[in-house]
Amino acid sequence: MDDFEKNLLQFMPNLRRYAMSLSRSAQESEDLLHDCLEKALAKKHSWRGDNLQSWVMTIMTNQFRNKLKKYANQPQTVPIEDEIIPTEERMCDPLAMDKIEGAIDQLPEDNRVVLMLVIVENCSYAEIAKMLDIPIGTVMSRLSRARKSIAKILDGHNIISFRRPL
Amino acid sequence: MIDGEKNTISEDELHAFVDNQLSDERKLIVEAWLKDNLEDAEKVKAWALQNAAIGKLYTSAHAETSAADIAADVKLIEALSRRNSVKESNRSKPWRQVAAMLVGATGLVAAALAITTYQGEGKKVYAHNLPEVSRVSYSVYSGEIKHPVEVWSDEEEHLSQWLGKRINRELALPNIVSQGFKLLGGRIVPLKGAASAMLMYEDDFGERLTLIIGQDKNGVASSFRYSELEDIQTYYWGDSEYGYAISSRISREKMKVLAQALHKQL
Repeated sequence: MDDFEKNLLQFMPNLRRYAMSLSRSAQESEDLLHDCLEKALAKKHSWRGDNLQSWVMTIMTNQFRNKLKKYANQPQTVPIEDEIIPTEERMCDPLAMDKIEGAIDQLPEDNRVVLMLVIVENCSYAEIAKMLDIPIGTVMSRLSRARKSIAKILDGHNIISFRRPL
Repeated sequence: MIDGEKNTISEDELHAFVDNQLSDERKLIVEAWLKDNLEDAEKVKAWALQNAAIGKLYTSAHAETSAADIAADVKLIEALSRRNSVKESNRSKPWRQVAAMLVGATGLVAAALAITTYQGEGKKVYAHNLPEVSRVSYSVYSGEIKHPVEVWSDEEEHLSQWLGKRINRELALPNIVSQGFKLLGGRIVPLKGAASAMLMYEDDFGERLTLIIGQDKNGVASSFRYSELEDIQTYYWGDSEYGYAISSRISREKMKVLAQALHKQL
């Protein structure tokens, strides 16, 4: 395993999580992760030595967008894992967590991606702007829209107002 | 972000405060601002709660990486790296360069190369082929009166050995009689250029259901997925070596029960 591959290895949990936040499905996120890793490994010589996580996530974002275009006309698939395979671990407050997950699912893809990169991957706004190739103002407006949408959905369920998730 | 003239804090800076993206100096200024501006303080509190909840959701769903996870990731990266090397070396072979020159001359060569290239991306093709092969197999064979299968269930042992041999595994034929479906028999169907096993089941009302089991050496364990096209419903899932798919025109609820039963036996 060369240095590039070793570096890549340490970001695997982040990449897996990001793939899941993009595709919102266990199987599609694994497919996306594989495709992204394959591409990153093939193009490793063009990596300039700066933030590797951000570089690979940019590849993944682009691949996800391409996939959306490519499979736009395919039959719709619906993830049903929760219906059949029991989730390994449920949250201490499953109702709140399910609602939050549902609210995230309802976000438009562009807003969801920014929100997840900020909250889950702890990326800076500037990194996200570079990664998604958008102005920082757009990052802020997508983040703001995402937070407002989630609050609106959760307010309907009295989740944030009356329950502390932690 | 900061409106110095009006001495106010912009919404962007409130977001940055919640996301811990401010300098220590600006953080103190925002904290002071929030003490006197309760509306903004409420806003910030709600966003912080969102952050905490979403963070917890994802931390929990992707708990600490175990040594086994890391070992699996090492294997994955090495396998993908090897695949890239093979592709790279194939690309540099002289015959490929000659073939590339011929692409412009004959559409047939172009098509053949396109198929080769696409098949090279094994996993992708497999993931999208499995439900399609399942659906088409159901569509083609379930309507057959005399020849829906090649080997009937009265030769169960032979059927099990034959199919198992073709897909490189011991194959105990799943039994879903308690769900109302009896095994009719099975046949071989092509999937990603290799043999996969198709079993056909039938209930007392003549409704049929097909099960495809195909080898996928690059497979990953996956949850159940569902697709529906032209009234044919398909459930599919996979493990590290095999992909499975069932197709039928029965109700989705019934399909779900059958998928569960088959999943347990496979």
